[in-house]
Amino acid sequence: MRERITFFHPTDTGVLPENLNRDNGGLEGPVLETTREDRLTLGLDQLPAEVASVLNGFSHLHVAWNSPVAYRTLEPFAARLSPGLHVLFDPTAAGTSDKSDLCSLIQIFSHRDCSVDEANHSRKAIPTTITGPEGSLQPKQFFQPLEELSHFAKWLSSEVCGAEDDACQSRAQRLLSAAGLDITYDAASKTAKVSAFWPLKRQSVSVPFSPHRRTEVGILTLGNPPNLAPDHVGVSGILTTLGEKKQPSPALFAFPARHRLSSSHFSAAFLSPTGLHPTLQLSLIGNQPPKEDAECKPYAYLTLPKTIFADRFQLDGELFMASKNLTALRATSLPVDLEAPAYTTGAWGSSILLELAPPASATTQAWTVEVPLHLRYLKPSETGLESIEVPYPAVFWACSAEQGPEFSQNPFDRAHVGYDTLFESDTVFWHVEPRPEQGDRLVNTISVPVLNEHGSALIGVGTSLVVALGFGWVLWKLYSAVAQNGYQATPKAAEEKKNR
Amino acid sequence: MIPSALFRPLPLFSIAAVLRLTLLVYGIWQDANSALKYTDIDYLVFTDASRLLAKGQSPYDRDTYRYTPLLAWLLLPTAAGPSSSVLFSFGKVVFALADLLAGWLLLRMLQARRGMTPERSGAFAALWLWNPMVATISTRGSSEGLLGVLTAGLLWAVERRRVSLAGVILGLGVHFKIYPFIYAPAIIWWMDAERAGGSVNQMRRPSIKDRLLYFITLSRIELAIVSLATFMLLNILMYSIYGHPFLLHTFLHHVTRIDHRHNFSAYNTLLYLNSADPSAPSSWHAESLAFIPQLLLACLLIPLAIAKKDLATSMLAQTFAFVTFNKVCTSQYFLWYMVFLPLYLPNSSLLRNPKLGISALLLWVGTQGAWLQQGYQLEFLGNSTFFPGLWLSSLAFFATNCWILGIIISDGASDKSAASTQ
Repeated sequence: MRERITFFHPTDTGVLPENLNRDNGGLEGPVLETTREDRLTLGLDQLPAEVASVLNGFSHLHVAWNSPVAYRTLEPFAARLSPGLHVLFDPTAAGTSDKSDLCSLIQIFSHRDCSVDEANHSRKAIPTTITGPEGSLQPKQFFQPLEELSHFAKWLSSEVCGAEDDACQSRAQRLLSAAGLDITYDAASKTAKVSAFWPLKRQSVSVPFSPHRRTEVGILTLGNPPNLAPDHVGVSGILTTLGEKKQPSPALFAFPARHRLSSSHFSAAFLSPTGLHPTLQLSLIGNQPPKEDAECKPYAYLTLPKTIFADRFQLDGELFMASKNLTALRATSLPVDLEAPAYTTGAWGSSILLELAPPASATTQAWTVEVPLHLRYLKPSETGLESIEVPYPAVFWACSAEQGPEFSQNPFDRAHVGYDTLFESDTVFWHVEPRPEQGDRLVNTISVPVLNEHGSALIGVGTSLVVALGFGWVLWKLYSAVAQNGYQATPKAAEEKKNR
Repeated sequence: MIPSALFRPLPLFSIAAVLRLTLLVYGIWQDANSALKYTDIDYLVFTDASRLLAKGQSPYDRDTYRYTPLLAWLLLPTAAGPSSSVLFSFGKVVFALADLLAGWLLLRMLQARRGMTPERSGAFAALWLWNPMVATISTRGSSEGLLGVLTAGLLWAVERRRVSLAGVILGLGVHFKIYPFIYAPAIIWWMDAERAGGSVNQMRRPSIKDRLLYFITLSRIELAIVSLATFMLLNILMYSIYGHPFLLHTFLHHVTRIDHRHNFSAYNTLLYLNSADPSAPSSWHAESLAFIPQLLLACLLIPLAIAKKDLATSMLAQTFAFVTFNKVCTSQYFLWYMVFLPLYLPNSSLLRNPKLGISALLLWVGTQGAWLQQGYQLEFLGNSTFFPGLWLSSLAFFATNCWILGIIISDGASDKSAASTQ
């Protein structure tokens, strides 16, 4: 079991080694504006048996969660995902097509049992697969909205930590303020990596010592080592290992980065009125590519819960797409039923990758993109309206890298986040920061009209009655017509026939 | 008023053709210049399916393709170029030509009636040929126009005693869109020995056995065999090529669909309610019995009562009943019965009694308008109008349709209308 804790702070602040207190084996430092990442590397045998058996069903697994509360970040922690819980996985050859594994995994994060929909007794949580460039194998994906990690923290503290391990208990508690979580498992190495991320804010640079594991701490900022290669990020600062007598050592190094921060930002909102076919409008500040010497195109990657979907056949046609400032629909997850109501839809929802069409002007300007979407029918409710939440998309410029960088060298790399596998492996993603127009949530709410439950009783009786009356009326007309004139051809008509 | 000379065949069809050509060209222009498309979504489904076909794939690889592969075959030329090419409109031209052919058949049937001047029959044919709704639907690329020519062709073939042809059209029609099977009992019933030209039974008091034997005529057997053979041959052919997806999407889908989305049907709100909570013990499942009044009227009672007196009016009333009592109903379905209107109206009480006719028209348009207004509130403004607005207006539209159906039935059974067809 190894642990790595990394603080990244802006270049204009910092902490001097002499201000770090290293009594008791731990590290005590000042309060500083900084980000923090905790990464724990575990062998399969160090995990609770039930989790290990679930992980055994996957050859590769990535669970990624991002907070719905807007947050600030620094490179190299630039990757953005739609807020919520994403699961991307490759089942083992033996075939974990059974979704019970997926669901027992998700139950660590949420009390909802995803394998059974209580009201309908129908199975849900069907994962989807997004179609990538021809021939490329894409992981299966699943998504579920998740507000915070409290369920996961509770599970950690009761199932993993052990009552007397205070360091572990406080670690679990700290997850409540995290902005991101990544759990990756690779069957080849039989190891799981758990990373939690806290956004840029004032927090104390302190890490308690634990004899149970080796803990490395880095306090870093962006730096400029000599001969910085293109698409690389340079880093400087100090590194230390807790419990060792050695003084913190200065560090200066560089690595290629898959995810970068662009200088632009965007907000997302639904155009009013939303009706049954809402339009999601993305308002972007900045139409210039982040890199001049590379081929860059802007994209939006939407993660849509099952209540709302994009019609992949509608997102076609040059004129139509251009009128929305879209270039093309580049990928869509399957299956997506284009008609079914939410309550009979098995798939978790869908994701789409849209290439955007920025205005061509040379000066920087604001622009908007419109994404036409469709609501599914939802169950009747008390009020006739139901609220649904739609997470912000991930918006980024995808740029070709200059000389096939080895992103895996990046100690902070975040791969298999849903959209990266849809591009060439050397693509660099320059992320556009999501900024809510109002409030601090990266989620839009729509009020969906549904049938008002108060009518239920009347609708059953009333429909039957009216249909019966209508049917009765027509029967009466038929009866009186036949009673009056019979059903045989009239003599005149018959006569005519004979004379033919 | 319109000068009656315009109802002579040449101007009649020229105007109908120019109307469709204008809409077609306008549609191409709008599609090329506006983000809002003139072309119907369904047309994109058909042409996508044709494109798949051209690539050697199954048309059912296109989601929501719920038709016979014949349609995708028919539209194969559209797959030759991009959607901006002239050939892409090939299908719309076919649908528009089908409209015109249906109009020609209507005109022939009207002309065959006693006491109809050419202008008068032309004027009634114009109800279909110059109907902007019909012309728009086919030039937007909806295939319902094909049903118009199939059902008009069926009636024409029967009236002309071309039994085999009628059987082929009937089998093809049912393969195409299922619902034309309702015409089979009407035609069989109508085709008695007197009409079919067989020997007329002169017995005073025939026994049941005699009656039965008398019922089974050569032409009835011919129609049954030819139509069934056509239907089954097409199905076997399609099944052998496209397998289970063909059965699933062309037929089974229409049996199992839930139809929860709002449409004109009186059952609609109930279907939505019960589909969302199928286990609710208190809920009424009247919709599961919906096929009983629908099929009783459309396949049995209406043909029995009026097919022998007036086959065209019987087919109109049957279609009207089928659409009115159906679990799903959209405005394209109205085309199914509109094709018979020119044959029914000349002797109808709706024309004889203008007050009645205008009331029926206003009620039909008015209740539909009320529904559309509620639908707009729901679909575009997001107001929850399912209950009571949409529900009540769909019931009002249903009641109106039942009332009109009663009028059509009375007219069809009365001796006045007594089809002076040959």
